[in-house]
Amino acid sequence: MKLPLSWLHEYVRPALDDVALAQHITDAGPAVEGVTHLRMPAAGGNLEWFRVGRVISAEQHPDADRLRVCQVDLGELELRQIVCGAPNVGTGQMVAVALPGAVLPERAPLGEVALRGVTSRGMILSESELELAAESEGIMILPDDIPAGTPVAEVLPIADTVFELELTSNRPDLMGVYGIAREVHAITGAPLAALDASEAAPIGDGTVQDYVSLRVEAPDLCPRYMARVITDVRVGPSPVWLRARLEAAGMRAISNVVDITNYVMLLTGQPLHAFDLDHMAGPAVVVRRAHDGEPVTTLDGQQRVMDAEVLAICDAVRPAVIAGIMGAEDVEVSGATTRVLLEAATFDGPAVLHAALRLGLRSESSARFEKGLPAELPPVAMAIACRLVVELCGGRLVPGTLDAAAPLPAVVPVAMRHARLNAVLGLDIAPDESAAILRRLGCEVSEGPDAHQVIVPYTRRRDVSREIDLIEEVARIHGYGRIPAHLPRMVGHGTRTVAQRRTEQLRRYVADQGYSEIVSYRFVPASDVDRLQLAGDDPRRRLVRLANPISEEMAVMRRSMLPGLLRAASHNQHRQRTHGALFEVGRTYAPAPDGRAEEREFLAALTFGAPGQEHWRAPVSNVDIHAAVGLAEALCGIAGVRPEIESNQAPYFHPVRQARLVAGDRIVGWAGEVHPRVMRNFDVSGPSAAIVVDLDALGAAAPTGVPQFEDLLSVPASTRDLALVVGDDVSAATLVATARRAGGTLVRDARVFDRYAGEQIGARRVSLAVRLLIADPTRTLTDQEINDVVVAVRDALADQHGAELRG
Amino acid sequence: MASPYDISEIKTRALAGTAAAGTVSALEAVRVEFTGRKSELAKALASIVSLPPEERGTFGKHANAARREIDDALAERKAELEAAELSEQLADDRTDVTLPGDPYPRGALHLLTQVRLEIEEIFLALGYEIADGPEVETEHYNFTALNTPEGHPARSSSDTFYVDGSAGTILRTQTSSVQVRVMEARTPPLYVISPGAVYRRDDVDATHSPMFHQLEGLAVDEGLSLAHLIGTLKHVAGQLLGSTEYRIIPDFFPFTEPSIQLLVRWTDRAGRSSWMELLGAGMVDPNVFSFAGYDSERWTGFAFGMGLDRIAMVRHGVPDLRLLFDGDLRVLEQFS
Repeated sequence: MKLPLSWLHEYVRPALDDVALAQHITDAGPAVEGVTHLRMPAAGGNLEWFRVGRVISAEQHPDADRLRVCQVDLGELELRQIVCGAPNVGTGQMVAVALPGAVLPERAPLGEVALRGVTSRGMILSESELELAAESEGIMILPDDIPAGTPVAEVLPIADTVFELELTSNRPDLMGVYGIAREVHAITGAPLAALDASEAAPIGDGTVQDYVSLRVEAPDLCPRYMARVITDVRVGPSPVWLRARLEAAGMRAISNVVDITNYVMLLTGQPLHAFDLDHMAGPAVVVRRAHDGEPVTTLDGQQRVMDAEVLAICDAVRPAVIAGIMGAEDVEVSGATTRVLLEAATFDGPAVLHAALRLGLRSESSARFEKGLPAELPPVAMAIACRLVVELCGGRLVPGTLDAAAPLPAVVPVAMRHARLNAVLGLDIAPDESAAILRRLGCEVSEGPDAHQVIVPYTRRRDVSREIDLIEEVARIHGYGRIPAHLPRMVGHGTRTVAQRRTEQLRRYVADQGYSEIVSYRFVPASDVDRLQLAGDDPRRRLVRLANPISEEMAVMRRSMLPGLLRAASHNQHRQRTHGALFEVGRTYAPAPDGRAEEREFLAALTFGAPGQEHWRAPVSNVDIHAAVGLAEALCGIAGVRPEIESNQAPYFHPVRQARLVAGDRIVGWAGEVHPRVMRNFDVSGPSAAIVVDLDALGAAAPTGVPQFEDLLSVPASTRDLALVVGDDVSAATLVATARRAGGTLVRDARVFDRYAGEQIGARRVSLAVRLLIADPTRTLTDQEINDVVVAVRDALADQHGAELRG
Repeated sequence: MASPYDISEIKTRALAGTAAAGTVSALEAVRVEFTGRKSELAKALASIVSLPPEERGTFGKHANAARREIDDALAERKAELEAAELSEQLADDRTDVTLPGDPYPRGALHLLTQVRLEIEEIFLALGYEIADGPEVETEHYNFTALNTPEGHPARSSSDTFYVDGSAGTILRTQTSSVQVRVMEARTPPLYVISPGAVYRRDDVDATHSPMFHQLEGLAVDEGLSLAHLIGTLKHVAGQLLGSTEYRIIPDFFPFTEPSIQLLVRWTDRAGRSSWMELLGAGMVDPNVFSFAGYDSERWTGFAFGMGLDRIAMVRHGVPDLRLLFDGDLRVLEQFS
């Protein structure tokens, strides 16, 4: 909302400079987001150099056809000689003069100049030079009755300061200058001038019923509709003051009648509409729901198609206005209009909002209606508008008003308890002080020993209807800056849950391994399921879809963590980062039976591209399944989980280079090299391997309780290595599992620590070295006992896997 | 009969030999020559028995003193030679110490994570718990129970994402929905924060994103007042931004009354100082308590919410919101 201070000052003028006023308003009411200065610079007394003058004579310049040499009376002892190039300058005119020293916008200060040899001691100004009009032909002629020498600023709005206010949606009352004046009055205590809503004399012929009929068919969407008729209207340009105010408030001047409706809206917050009565079929006003598919061509020349949820103001045959939003072209007031129908109505706020959204059409009018306006407001706005049309357009107001109004809601006082006020605020405000604040806000207050009974003005009743609402009003006007700051007594627990701690620990660990964390959009294209090569009947093709996505690229909630990482990898590869390591912690979303989503939390990490030699002696790290499995195992280990590694078949991973990590009956994670086609689908090049850890499953698999000491110190453990050759279809995990089983409890650990495949071993054979850690925690084993264990393991491996002992 | 050995002469030769030895092995030869079992000195000492008894004492003393002197000289010279040899050997180990050290991996937590963790720590220390809730949420928890009636503009499909084929299901627009769930499940006193992703139907630009991150908080207790809210916010602003200058201005949220906004004085890298909108807050509206079944005469509470993305941008001088979401390593690695 743009607030021209010149307009505000008509109703309230606190003894504060602009900066202080802005601060006061912001601290207690709407935030002043910006301050702009319009037209002539006002700083440094500049406006003093703009004076009204009378042209005493205007004679032809001796050496220039287009210039006139004028003698101008500026109320000084002597006349001033001013050279003027305007064709319309003439003797006897009252004009606006800038004297030497005056500064016009974006120009150097005016000086005394010689124009073709003739001295000019000032400049006669045009409307465009004063920035009162976009363009003008010739100088501006002022009314005769202004004394020469009067500062121009006293008769023309040649300078203004405009506050840009940020309004919250609960304050439609501030969408009018007078509403802001009330607010400024409440905040500063400066006196508030009354809003003159007196009626013009109804001197037109007949009564309004003779001119037009009114029928409201949808009272649910239109609680009040008022109409009046004014005849003998002369449509033309508005006076300068009116245009200046509209433009300062951010609206364009159009013609006097339209400008008056806008002016009254900007003043009161109540939108109005003016019709050319001679273009209204009937003449009738019918307020009804539009028909499905009913078209209307709005003022902006666009054809709009309405439906039954849109309210239309119609004449006897067709829509004339989309209620509260915008009028139709063919009933608008034009230069030829002489009979005007003025509308002031109340429409259902949410209905206006929905219509505006559905039609993609918002206006100054709909911005006000959609927040809900009181039904008490139309008569005020109507009175002011009619008076201005009579005054400025020479109209004759027809007696009588068409007014279809539901009964106004009853006025109920609201109680505000003194104790409650101070308990909520943590303050000690005396009852007479809170009463004074409420009265400044326009409330009627009857004071009681325990509580005030408060009647809220109609402009605020929608927002202020309960005790707590009154408390807020008192708090903000009293001043939030005066409320002390205390910390509450501490009673909370103040710890992270086990799961929260684990997630942060894993996050930190992955980062410390050189992975950088990303945050990617959780809505993705639906086609990601194809990019991931999911089969047609894969349940993961069932997605949480948005009904109103921003774009196809953000149409569904992600079902997998991989696309976000792959897209980020691609983003980096297109920016000279051929390789890197990324991870993300977040959720995936699967449709749930209750219509919502099953949201699971994952940690996923991806390495992309082959690292080259980047350091003079550090080895190049691998991007493959084994690196991925190692990271996944490490993460499980942090959670206290030692998973089994099993082969896996996911369509987005390399068919034979992927694994899953299983703890008991839970899959806690997956690791794999990304399928080359998937990489191509996401435009990622080079090797790429990923892990996905299911944080919920990992948490469920994690041991509870605190770790207990195990005596690994008192009794020595023996290490025995077995070098075995097996077929390459025997997995390391199987071999180790057999070794553990065969060795029994004395095998504390068994692991594959070396692997070799090559000519010496033979085709489809592989040499694996298994290390056994053998111990009994209660005693030292004899060599014989240790050997027995090794033999048992060796025999079992030979029997079950055809393992041959090497060397 | 006098001894045939001239101890002084032997000593002089031995010391000269010691001084002349240039290597540890040459010195060893000197040692063997002058102090070994077959050395003249050894023989001289052995010859002592052949001396007249009255000469033995003097001669023996003399010879032993010479022996000690030679041993000391040998030891001293050996230490010198060893030190010199070690120095020479170490000098051969010369390398270019200015070469880059071995690389240790170092990734980065996302800036949003870092900011979130930091704010979480502030609230954990104040006794708050951290709660989480669904992002695919019902209108009830996101709006209705937060005093945002049907027909409110925030509920329109131009502002809120709706889930297709599931009436009344949306992507949460605020983490306040978590607070409703917490209130529904628990009884006061409550001190809870809920960080997380939220969704609003804004187009992507430098300062808008359809997905962003909030951290909201809720305190419900006996005797909580606006002064406690302001005290809490002031504390958080001071911890987070080192800012002690703050301002409270009115605001509007459907679920709090009174509603306020906290501005803090913020000076950016270029030295420009301005009032930064840090967070919105207010006293929990009695309507919200009645949805939760709390007696609003007994319990009062406050709620607050801040945008993690915006705080991260302002505090770290990130000029464009999109930089937080496209995973560009040139950005991510700056905050490792």
